[in-house]
This record gives sequence, C-alpha cells and structure tokens, in this order.
Amino acid sequence: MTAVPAAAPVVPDEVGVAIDAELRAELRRRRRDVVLAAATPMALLALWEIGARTGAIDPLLFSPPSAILARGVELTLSGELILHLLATVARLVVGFVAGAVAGIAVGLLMSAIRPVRAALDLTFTALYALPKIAILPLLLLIFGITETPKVLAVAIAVFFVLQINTLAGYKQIDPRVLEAARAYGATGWKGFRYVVLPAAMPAVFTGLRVSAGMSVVVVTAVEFVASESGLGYLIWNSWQLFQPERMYVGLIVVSALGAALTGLLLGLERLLLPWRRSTPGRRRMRKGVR
Amino acid sequence: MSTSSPAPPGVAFDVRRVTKTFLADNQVVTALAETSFTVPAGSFTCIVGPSGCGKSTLLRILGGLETPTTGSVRTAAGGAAFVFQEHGVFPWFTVEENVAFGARMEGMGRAERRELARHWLAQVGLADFAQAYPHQLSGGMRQRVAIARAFATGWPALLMDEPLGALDAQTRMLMQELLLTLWEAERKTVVLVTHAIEEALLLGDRVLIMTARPGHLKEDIEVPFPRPRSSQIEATAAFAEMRGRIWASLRDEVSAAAVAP
Amino acid sequence: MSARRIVAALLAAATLVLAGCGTGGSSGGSGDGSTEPVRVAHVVSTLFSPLYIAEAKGYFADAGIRIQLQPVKSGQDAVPLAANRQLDVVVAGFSAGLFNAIQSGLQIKVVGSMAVSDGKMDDPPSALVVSKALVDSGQVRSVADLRGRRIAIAGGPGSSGGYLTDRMLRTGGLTLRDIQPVNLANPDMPAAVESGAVDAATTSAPFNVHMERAGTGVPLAVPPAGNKSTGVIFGAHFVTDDRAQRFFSALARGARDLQGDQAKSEENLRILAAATQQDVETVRSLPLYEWLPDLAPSPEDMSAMQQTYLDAGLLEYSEPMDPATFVETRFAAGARET
Repeated sequence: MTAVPAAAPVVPDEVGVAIDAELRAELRRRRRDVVLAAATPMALLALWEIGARTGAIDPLLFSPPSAILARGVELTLSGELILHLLATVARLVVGFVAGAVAGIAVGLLMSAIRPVRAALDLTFTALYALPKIAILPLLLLIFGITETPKVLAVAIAVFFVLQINTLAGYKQIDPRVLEAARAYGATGWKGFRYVVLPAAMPAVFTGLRVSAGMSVVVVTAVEFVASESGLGYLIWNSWQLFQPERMYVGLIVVSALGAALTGLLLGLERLLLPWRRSTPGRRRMRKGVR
Repeated sequence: MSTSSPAPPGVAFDVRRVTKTFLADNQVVTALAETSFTVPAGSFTCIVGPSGCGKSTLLRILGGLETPTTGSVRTAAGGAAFVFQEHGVFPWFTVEENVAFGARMEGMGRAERRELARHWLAQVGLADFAQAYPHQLSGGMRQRVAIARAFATGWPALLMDEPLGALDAQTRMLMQELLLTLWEAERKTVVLVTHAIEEALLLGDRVLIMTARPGHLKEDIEVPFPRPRSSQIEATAAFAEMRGRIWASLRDEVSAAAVAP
Repeated sequence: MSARRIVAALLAAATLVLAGCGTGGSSGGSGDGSTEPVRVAHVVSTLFSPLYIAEAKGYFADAGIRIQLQPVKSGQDAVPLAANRQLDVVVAGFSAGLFNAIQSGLQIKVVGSMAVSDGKMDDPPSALVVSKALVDSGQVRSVADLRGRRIAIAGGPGSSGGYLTDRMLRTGGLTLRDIQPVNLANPDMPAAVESGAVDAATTSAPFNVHMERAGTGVPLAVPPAGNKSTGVIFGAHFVTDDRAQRFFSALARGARDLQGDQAKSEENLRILAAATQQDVETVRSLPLYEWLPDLAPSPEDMSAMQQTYLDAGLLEYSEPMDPATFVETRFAAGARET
C-alpha cells in the first residue's frame, strides 16, 4: 500500500482513485463469476437444443429443451403437474419431518445416556447401510399399498442420517467447552440446553441438508414402484407409455424440488444459527472489526 | 477427600497436602505431588512452572472442577470464576449473553442480567459489541469477554489458566494493564497460572514456583513492588533482579521437563 | 476477456462429447458382421419359452449365429434401445408405450408373436382373479360386478396385462375405463387381494394358481382364445440384417418343439426351469401357454390392442395406425419354408 511520508502533503485523489479501481475490479470479477455460473447450463441447454434439431442426437429419445418446456407449460396449465408435485411434496415433508424429529431425539438420547449409546450405536450404524429402497417391498407387505410405506421409507432414510449426525455432533464437542460450561454452573439439564445442544446444532443441520437430497431420491424411487401419483410416478409412467417429454419435465421438477429443499434448509440454518460463520472468506467490503 | 469445611476467615484457599494421580494409557500418572499452601483473601497469586508440572490441574482443584486424590482444599464461601486460555467463550451466544452466563445459571432475571453485562462490558471496553457474536471478534476481544464474564459473576475468587497465552505480545501487554486496573478496583482473590515470568511479577503479590512433574511447590516468593503498578516497573533493576532469580530457580525444572516424556 | 475464451472452449468440448454419443453406441451397428452376436432383450417368463428352447437346444448355433440374451424387467425399457441400435431384438409384451413409440417415429417393427391364449377356464396360465371374500359375500358374481372396483395389473393399464384385462372385462360389458387399475408387481398381488387392498387382479402363473389353492381368490375370466399380446420386435436396422431371417427361423424351430403333447417333455421342462429359475416340478405343475409354430405376428391383434389403448386414453394420438405400416410378416413366412 502507498506509504505516506510524514513530511509530504497527503494526496487523497491518488489514493482514492486506486481504491476505486480496486473495488471496481473486484466487482467485475464477481459479476464474471455469476455470468459463468449462469451461462454454463444455458450453453449446455443450447447445445442440446441444436443437437436435437439437427439430428445429432435423437430428438425422440432426447427431447429438445424447447419441447420439454412446452410440455411443462401444458402440464402446469392442465393442473396435472401441480397434482403430482403436491403428492410428492406431501410425502416428502411428512416423512422428512418425522424422520428428522425421531433421528434427532434418538441421537440426543444416545448422547446423553451412555448405556443407550452403547446399546444402539453399532446396530444403527449397520442398519444405516441398508438401501432404503430395497426394504420397500417389505414395507408394502406389512402396511399394504397405502401412503404409509412411502412416507415410512423417506422417514427411515432421514432418521438414520440425523441420528448419526446428531451423535457425531455431540462427540465432536470440544471437551474444553464442556469444562467451561461446568465451571459456570451449567450442569445437568442446563448444561444440555445451553451448551451441548447449541454446540451440536451445526452437525444436525448438516445432517438435515444431506438427508434432504437423499429423501428426494428415496421418494422418487418409491413412487416408481408403488404409486399412482407423484413426480416419480410421472417420470416412470411417462417412460412406460413412451412419452419422453413428460419424463424430462418430471426429472427437471424433481431436481428443482431437491434444490429448493436444500436451499430452504440453508436459509433456516442461517436464521436459527446466526452465530455460524458460513464462509470465513466472504467478508463484506467494509471496515473490518479488530 | 475434597473441600470439607470452609477456610478460616481471611483465607481464600487452604491447600493441605494435595496430590493428584490419574490413569493415562494404562499407566498411573502423578500430575501433582504433595503440595500445600494458603492463599489469603484479596491477594493476587501467580503460579509459574514448566509444562506438565500440574499447575493447571492445581487450579482446577482449587475451583472444584477436579477433586484431589489425597489431601484437602478448604475454600472460602462464594464461588471461583474461571478464565481459560481459549474455548471458554460460547460461540452461539452474543457477547452480552456470554458475559451474563454465570449469572443466568444462578437464576438472575433478564433485565438485571442485561444491566450487569452492560456494566462489565463497559469495564473491559467492549460496550459497542454487546450484540456481536464471538466469531466476529479478535482473540484479544474474546478474552476480554471471558474476563468480563468472570467478574460479572460477582464471585470472590478468580482462577485464570494462562488467560493471555494465546494472544500476541502487544495485545497481551494491553490485557495485563486491563487486569491490573480491574483487580485494583475490585480486589478479588486471584490465582493466575502463567508461563511468562514478567507477567507473574507484574501482576502478582506472590509467585509460586512449581517443579517439573510430578509437580510440587518449590519456592514461594513475595513480590515487593508497591501498588498501583504499571508496566513501567518492568524497566527497573529490581524487576530484572527478581526475574533473574525466578528464572534461575525455574530453569532446572524447565530443562528437566524438556527431556522427560 | 479470458471468460469468453473459457466459454468458447467449453462449448467446443461439449459439442465433441455430444457428437460422440447419440447415434448407437459401440458394437454391432451395421447390417453385416455374421460373427457379431445378435443382442436379444427378453422378460424372463415362460411366455417366451420358444426363445429358451431354441437357445438351449442349439438352434441358433445351427443357423450359424450367436445370440446374447439380456434380461429386462419390462419390454418397454428395451424398445427404445432397439430403435437406437443398442439392441437388435426385443421379446416381450406389447404395450401402449410401444404404439406411442411407433407413432412418434421410433424405428422398430413387430415381426412375430409369442404366447397365445387357449381360452379355457380350467388351468389357465393367466386369469382375472377376484377376491374370494367378495364372491362369498355375493358382492361379485360376474365380471359386470367389477364396475368401479380396484384391479391390480402388472405394469399398469398401458401394459399387455391392461389389454388382457380389457378383453376380459368386455365379456361383462365393461372396459378399462370402468374400473380402477392399480399397478402392482405379480408377486405382490396375492397379498393385496387377501388384504383387500385390491378387489381383483389380472395375474399369471404361478400366482393365480397360488391364490386359487390358498382359497383367497377365484378366477372370474380368462383371456379369449387366440389372444396374442406379446411378441417379437426387431430394430429397423436389424430387419435388413442377413442374420434376421436365420434368427427368426431358429426361434420358430423352438416354437415347433412346444406343440401339442411334446410341449411338456422332460427336456423342455428342464430348459424352462433353468431359464426362469424355478424347479422342474413347479414348471411341470403349472399351466403352459401355446405358440404358433411359425410365430406369425397378427395385425388383427395389434389393431385390437391399439383400439383398446385408444379407448382408454393412453395413446398420444387419436387416429389409429394401419398395422401394415409396422407389422412385418415375412420372417414368419420365411420360417415356414425351412
């Protein structure tokens, strides 16, 4: 940085101009980041469209984006898409909330009570590895062809992730933090509520975000097999009836759903955990705190 | 084998033949060999010693976070507030909530707590940062929060485990002056563990020198400098002479600790 | 600006990648290559016994061709692959998806038939089975009483099972539109009928047999005699392949071994048991289908199927296609000459 000699007069214009240029360069770089991020998928879509139109890729099997868009609009206007979307979202939300609440509760129990942890840790770790889609036939057998097995499949998938993450969140708490808590009288329930719980929260939210993506996968797969409604059904059924455009619409909406859910959870985390440093490097350009 | 009867009047801590052993890697480790001393109420005692000599353990025994294996500690009524080197300030509470934490655990009401916190934040110069979160502060500021929290409890004793150890030299000097100012206003009983001999001499009325592990008391030196003190005493010959004396005593212990596992 | 160059490079790379894929993958795209194996997708079922018989008895080898069998869960998954030159032959049930595919321009031809129904009520290989509880309570006495009820169909109404169901419903004056189809896999049907989750099921052996013997279901109707709703499909590229006729003739040879009394010969039963992964006793005890000795495709059946799907609203178009445009009978004719 320019050092200002004590005797020489200050030249504010020079310094000001330099700072301005620096700021503008940084803003330019950031704008470029945004443009690249948005331009890449658009370029790929354009390539796809051109490929399908010219026959480089088979437009019957790889419907051009323009056709997919048209079909999407048609499905939205007819209300069919909304119906399927709502069906999937309903199963997703109920299963996700149920699984998350249960997983967090059990994870906390296992954190707080050592014999419970000893008993369940190994078993749950083993069960976690089971593909939840694979147990669907069992669930169908027990509960019949109702909404229950579908919601349950999602709930089970979410449960294990949250249980593991909650427990991990507890295990990684720095023992010095716990010691400080004890030193100031936060023991027993108070210690749990004011120290252990907040300390484990970041891991819990990571678990929520991970299982959000997973739950979308599970609910879609479940709807392939045992459903007459939902986005998974739309995707699978469209392919069975050879209506690829509808299938692509379904695929795109499912991806958007997954992204929306993850984004929602991210926003929730920012709201509930304002003390979390999300990205250490991302400081706003103002006077730093020292 | 722990705090039984309260200490006699005028004494904050009465340590009688305390030892501490524990298991590590299937071996018995003696952290603290038999140690005895008393800490008068309202005094500022500094403990220096090589790494691993058990001074942190001793501090925790004083504060009730650990119990001695043999021997006893008699404490005066009221509590002892800790200041740790790092990780003592909770990242999920605001600065104000952190300072009020001890009071909150004791059941103080919200309005009262807020006033208490505001008062102490002003004392440590962080009044503007009441609503900030710890991750937004520098290390020095976080330690100020820790110190404010300790004072805010109103407990008669303060136990500090190398509170300034993680700070850079310049911040450290500022914080030493802050500690002096605060203590001279409140006159609480302070026991401070430190590596820095200058710090012990600047802040304390008394310096306890510990041996290498298994640690016990080697020397008990009175610090003659009058109060109020400022960092200017570090330039005096008397200071240098005392420092030399302490270092001479400590040096053997430090080299012993340096070669021991 | 370097950003522009990056984007340009990305576009170039992506174009290369996309040009590479697309028109049919690695092996066997052209019409020749007698040493190349014929890639045959099939659904594992005794419906397609001629294929397994011909393969096990070496009829394909005799004709000088090798085949590569690829089991699939449903024919509908394989049909686009045949059009895309990744498969040569699909042996599976026909479906609404097939008609949509052909009408939208997919390059495939229907060249042969597979299982033919004999129309007999005793020991049928497929049937419309109704919950015994409903029959006992008198709620369902004939097909007509199935109006508005839930009927399980493997693959949904757009599958060959849907077509079968429609044919069977018509004996009682109903169509697919008059009932509620529920898509279930065959193994899940007995439990669903027993629990009351569905009122009836269009199912095939051994599940219809199980339900009858267990007393949970009663067969109410069977597909009409002569009904053909499964068959053989060639990718258009394979129709002009010189292996095509040899393949079909060998396949028809397998069908001839399944005519009349010799259908359930010990050797046949062994081959079918191995192919469908059941034990010989099970295959022996279960009813078997019938096959035309030349496996000739039936334009009439195709028209009937198309009309059923049209009426049920499952097709993307409204004007029925002329079956002559997508049914190819010359392979069956060629098989008769050998």
